[in-house]
Amino acid sequence: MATIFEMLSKWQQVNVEAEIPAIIQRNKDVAAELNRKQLKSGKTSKGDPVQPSYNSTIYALDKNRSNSLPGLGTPDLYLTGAFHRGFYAQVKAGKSIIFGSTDMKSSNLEAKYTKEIFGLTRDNKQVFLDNTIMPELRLYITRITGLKFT
Amino acid sequence: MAKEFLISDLPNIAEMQDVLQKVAKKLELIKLISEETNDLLNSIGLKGIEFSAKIGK
Repeated sequence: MATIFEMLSKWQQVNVEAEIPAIIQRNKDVAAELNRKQLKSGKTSKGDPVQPSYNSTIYALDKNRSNSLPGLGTPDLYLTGAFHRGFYAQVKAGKSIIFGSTDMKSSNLEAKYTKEIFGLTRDNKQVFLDNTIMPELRLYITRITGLKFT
Repeated sequence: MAKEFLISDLPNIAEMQDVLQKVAKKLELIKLISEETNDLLNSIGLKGIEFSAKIGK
């Protein structure tokens, strides 16, 4: 237990504005994996199905046999796997997160299916926050202040 | 080719930062009050009070 003065001194060392980007950067692969799984389900970062859907019914049926998660006709942008394997998340200037893929097809796919194929839905942002950011942030606050979360 | 998202748009982050700032302000206020109280006491020759209330677990 600390006195109020001691606690104030500790509290002044808490810098969540700097710590949150650091936590995200340490866990950038988790964020990229969430984006990958989201796209495997055929969802954009707005939570909508990836559009346009497949022109060919035969191709759509074939794709649906290999991955039924997006629903019939909705693309998952997975063929060789290179585009999905190239997914990354990167903190920029401590203020934002950039989602993208290093695969050479990336710009063509983005032009066809929009930028919304990258990034997380509201639900996945919450998952990332609850399962990854908050546990580390709580540890950080406890480490500095000595206060424990209930 | 990529898409950029603001970290501040993550749910609950802004609320948490707000609460942490409020706690810091409250602690600063307690410190200020204790210092001003002791200044008043000292101004009439009284010794100051030791503010040693415990906080946290």
